[in-house]
Amino acid sequence: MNPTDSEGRGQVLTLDQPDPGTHRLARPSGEEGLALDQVTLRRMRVGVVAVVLLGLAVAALALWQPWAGTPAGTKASQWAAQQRDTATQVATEGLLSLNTIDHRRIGATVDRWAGITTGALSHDVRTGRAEVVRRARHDRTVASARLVQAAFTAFDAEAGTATVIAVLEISASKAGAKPTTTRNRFRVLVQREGGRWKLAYFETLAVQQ
Amino acid sequence: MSGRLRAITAGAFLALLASGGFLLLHLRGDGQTVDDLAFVDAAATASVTRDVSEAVQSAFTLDPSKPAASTRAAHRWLTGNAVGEYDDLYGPLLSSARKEGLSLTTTVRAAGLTWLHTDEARLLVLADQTGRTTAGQHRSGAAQLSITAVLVDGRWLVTDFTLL
Repeated sequence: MNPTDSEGRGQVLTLDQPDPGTHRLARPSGEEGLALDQVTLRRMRVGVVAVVLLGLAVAALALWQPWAGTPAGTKASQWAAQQRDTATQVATEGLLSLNTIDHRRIGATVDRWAGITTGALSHDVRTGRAEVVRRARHDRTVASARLVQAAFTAFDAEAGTATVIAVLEISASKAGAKPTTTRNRFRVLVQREGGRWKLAYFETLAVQQ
Repeated sequence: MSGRLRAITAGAFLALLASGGFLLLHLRGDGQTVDDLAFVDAAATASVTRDVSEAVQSAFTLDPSKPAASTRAAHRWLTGNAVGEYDDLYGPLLSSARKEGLSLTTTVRAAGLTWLHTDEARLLVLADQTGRTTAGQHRSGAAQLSITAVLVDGRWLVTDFTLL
């Protein structure tokens, strides 16, 4: 017998084997305090069942959430707020993208525009691609944009539509012309399509005479 | 049996811990009510947009035939820093209106919410302005205003504005 194991498992096994009728929990050596009779065992089972039931009750309560008391559910508001935040992100990033031009990578730029637009705007981007590429290369246009501020003028979470107005600072340079930095204001319509928000329309808001 | 019982107890204990954690997460998630109420609280969205549009249009329009109207509107709609900002910007224009008959019309083209809290909001107002002198000269321009509004006694007042 392994001496290091003499007090523990080895002994239990050797003593268990000759008398299979003895309950295995009734360890005869060293652990007398843990020897369990049927009554203690039943109590333990009851305890385990109680713990399991308590766990289930807590889980059920967590799912039911009776304390989430606001009418129409905070969940709906949270969903709407989440949709709104996504819409504004898509709108502002889209506006920045549509005002960022590098004639050296104009093909990729227009392809990116096609990816973030939908409907008539997407159609315009695709059909106008050749002309946009030609002009950007001819003028050697480089333009970058920075968002000054954006705001919602309309938002419908259910319908998946939002109108965003924004002020952008646009720095542009063309061959043979002085670089310019202007503040421009835009209105953009974004729409949710199959779970994805895209730019459906955009216009610059020029001064009305 | 000892091993199985121990496994069951451990499992039950883990289940309890897990559901407790789940419960805590949900409680915390609910505590995090929506911070930005823009277009989530429809009534507040409508009233702040309406009040601020009215404030901009009336306080930033100068009619030489009734110069007091602009000042009255400014008193009615502006508070805090906005009072001083208005005096700095419109003081000279108001005296031109009185002395030289300068008129300035401000038309709100679009007013939107950048964010909305229970009693404070940030708005972007896109306006057109047309100035006219008695000599008949006129000039139009775009005015973009970033506005902070606060809710005071059921009315939204402009507490800060910046020309963008």
